[in-house]
Amino acid sequence: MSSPTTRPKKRKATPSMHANAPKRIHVKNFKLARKIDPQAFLDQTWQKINDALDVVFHKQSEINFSLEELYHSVENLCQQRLAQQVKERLEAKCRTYVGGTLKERVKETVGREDVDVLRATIQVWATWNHQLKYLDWIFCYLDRAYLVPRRESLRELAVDLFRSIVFEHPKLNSRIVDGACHLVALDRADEDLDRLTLHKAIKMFHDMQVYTKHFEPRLLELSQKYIMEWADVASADKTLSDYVKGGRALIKKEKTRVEDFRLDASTQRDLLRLLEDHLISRKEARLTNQDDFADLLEDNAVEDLELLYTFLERRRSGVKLRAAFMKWIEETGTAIVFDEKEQDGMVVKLLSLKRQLDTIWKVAFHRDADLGHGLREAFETFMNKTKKSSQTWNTDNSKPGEMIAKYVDVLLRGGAKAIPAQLNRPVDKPAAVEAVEDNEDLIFDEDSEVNSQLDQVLDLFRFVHGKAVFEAFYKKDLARRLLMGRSASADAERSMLSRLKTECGAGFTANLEQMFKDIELSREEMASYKMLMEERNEKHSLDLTVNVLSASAWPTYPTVSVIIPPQIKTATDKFERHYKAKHSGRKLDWKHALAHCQIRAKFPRGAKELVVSSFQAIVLLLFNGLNEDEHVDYNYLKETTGLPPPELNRTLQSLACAKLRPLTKHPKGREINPTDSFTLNTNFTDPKYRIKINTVQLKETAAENKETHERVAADRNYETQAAIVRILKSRKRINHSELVAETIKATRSRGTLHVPDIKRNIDRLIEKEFLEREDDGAYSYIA
Amino acid sequence: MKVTIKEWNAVAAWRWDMPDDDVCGICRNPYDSTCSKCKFPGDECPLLLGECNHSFHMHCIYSWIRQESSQEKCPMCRQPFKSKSQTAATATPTAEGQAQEPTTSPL
Ligand SMILES: [Zn+2]
Ligand SMILES: [Zn+2]
Ligand SMILES: [Zn+2]
Repeated sequence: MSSPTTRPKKRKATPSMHANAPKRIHVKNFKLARKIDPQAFLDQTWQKINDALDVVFHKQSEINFSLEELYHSVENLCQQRLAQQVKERLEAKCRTYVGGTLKERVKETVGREDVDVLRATIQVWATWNHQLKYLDWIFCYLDRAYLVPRRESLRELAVDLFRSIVFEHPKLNSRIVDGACHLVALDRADEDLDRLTLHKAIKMFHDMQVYTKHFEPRLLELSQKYIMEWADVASADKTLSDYVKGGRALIKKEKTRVEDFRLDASTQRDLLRLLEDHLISRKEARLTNQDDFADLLEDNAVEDLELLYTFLERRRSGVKLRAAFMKWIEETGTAIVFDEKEQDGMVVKLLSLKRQLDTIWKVAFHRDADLGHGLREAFETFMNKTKKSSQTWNTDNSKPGEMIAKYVDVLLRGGAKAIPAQLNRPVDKPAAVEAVEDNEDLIFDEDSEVNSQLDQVLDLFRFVHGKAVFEAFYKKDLARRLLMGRSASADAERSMLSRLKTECGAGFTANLEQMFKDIELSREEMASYKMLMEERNEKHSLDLTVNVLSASAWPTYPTVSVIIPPQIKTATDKFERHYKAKHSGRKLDWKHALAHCQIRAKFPRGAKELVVSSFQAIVLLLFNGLNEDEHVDYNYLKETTGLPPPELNRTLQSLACAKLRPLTKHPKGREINPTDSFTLNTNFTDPKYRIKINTVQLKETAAENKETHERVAADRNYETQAAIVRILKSRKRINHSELVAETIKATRSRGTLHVPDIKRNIDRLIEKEFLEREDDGAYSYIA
Repeated sequence: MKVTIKEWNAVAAWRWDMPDDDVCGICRNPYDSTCSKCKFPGDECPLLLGECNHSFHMHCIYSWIRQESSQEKCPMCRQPFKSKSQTAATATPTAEGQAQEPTTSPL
């Protein structure tokens, strides 16, 4: 509306007037002022000013006055002490103009959209600001000499007028503000945003000083409504991940808008608070929902989990995932531990699970201390769940304890090549994950591979409360490795031993150390024995080696009756005489079931050297010198070997029904029957000359497994009773629940105790008259 | 078919040559087990046979004899206790020297 032609040359001339004029003219005008009647002078001068203002306001014609002249007129008036009147007349003139022309122009748009009302206001405001520049020039002296000293200003006056008359007009005010808010709403809806208008509106609100009072509250009110609705709809419609991603995008977009349009810091702060309130705090239940969270864990969606965690962390609520996190771990872990069909894979699965969770904890949860505790707590819970099942021969024993021991055995027998592929550094790790994992992994050699596996297994083992089951199986497996010479690495054995010292205590490892020592001593003993034989020229065709054990350090082995072939008996008898002479007061119990040997056997298709168990050798010896078609029947084998049927059957099965079969069973079949007979397998052959067929000896039998479980359980009962007696000795009198709690506490390190078992042991002690139950149910100790 | 045994790897466990259910007259622990101060049966906690034919853990009889009230008599038959030196369970002087003080700390 104010066409550029209306502010030409004159405007250029004026600015210099501001700086120089007052000083120069001051004295001259003072004389002049004395001569004229002030009221007449005011009326006369105001007329001139009024005309000029009409030109400025209404553009009835080109600017036809001299700004410099008008400036001097105002100056003169002020010097005549007419400043107050000049101010009043100016104010009245402006009020009429703003309330008339300007307001009307905005009101014309009332029938249209809020945005149109806003646009009209912005335009009128721009006009008014343009016109104010003329007022500034003309009334400069009034402003400086009269208003400013009174803490007023021309500008303030002009803005106040516009604000009170136009902006705060009851029919316009909310329309203008809502117009601006509507623009924000358009942007939120991803529709085309008139950025320039919004920019101008915000600037206008700031200039008019209505931002905080009028605009901000309304914007926040509408924002809250919008955010709330968004959160309600999105949380119902979207998956957890999509909700988090949407929420993060929304926060980002809102923040960007605040920055782009220079909204106040208070707006940014309050808006962020609204966003976090409605998107996070009020939707906490949604964000930590067990099922959705479980899906992310199930998919190992590390990146989505990270987004979720950091989203919650905006409100320090990451820890709220703890319950769902623990529940998933417990359920997943319990399923693995009690998966009766897949017991052999238990440890590998547990290790993968632990590894997966550690990565999630490190990468997705930023090593959150609380979630870390939750992880460990959940592991501890499910690792110590016990169930009386066929897997533990109906004892309360910890199956993980047993399986961990067996997994360690596999590692120590097989070395690095025994490590299952899925635990051998997965290559498909996300880059983010790779960066966080420890650098130590980069060193790649067999020993450190095995060691790092052992560390991981022990990490698992540390969760198991009762070490007794592990210890029993570990000891049995170690014994087998030592006696069969099946350890892959003495270093690995030693490093495992020192780890166990920390985990299980020196009491347990002292036994293991004794086992190593027995093997070492036996080696020395054999060396000197063989030397002695040579000196005496008593060399035998049979090369005998004996491992002499200190029975109490080793697992207990049942004595299996067997008839030892004379050539072997001669050799062992001779050694026994030597041993007894050297260690007087001692005698030897031969454990034939543990012996193994190397034999040379000539088969029709070639000679082979076989590594066999003693029982296998004893059976094979009975085929010595037989023709290919000569049958040996079961009963003959039974009588001649003296082996009990279960042992004999196992031995025959390993010779005639396994992959490598030196014997042929008649009739064919997997089970051994007393009616069977056996012949030499004439087709026996193998690419290798030296063949190990004594794996049967390395495998634990079901009976052995049962025996170990039952012994551990029996030991636990004994320990439980001992603990109960100790507690009663010190307390004299104790009630039932206290006694149960104390007993659980006292025996915790050996394994989990169930209340019914404690009760059973209490009853047993009452029977044995160690304690008695009094009338009120409390127990007392019988000295 | 010809089968020859080349190498035989036997396993044996040693124990004291005593009746199975016999216990040391002093500590009442089985001979195959240890005295009440030791942890490991065997060379570190040997047996000692007296001329009176009573056997004890060596640690048990030593600490018995060190008490003045024992008057160095066998606690079973009250005869002066002398070890059957050559047939005693401690065969070598070094083993004896080692065995005098239990190397493991008392429980
Ligand atoms: Zn004793
Ligand atoms: Zn001792
Ligand atoms: Zn005696």
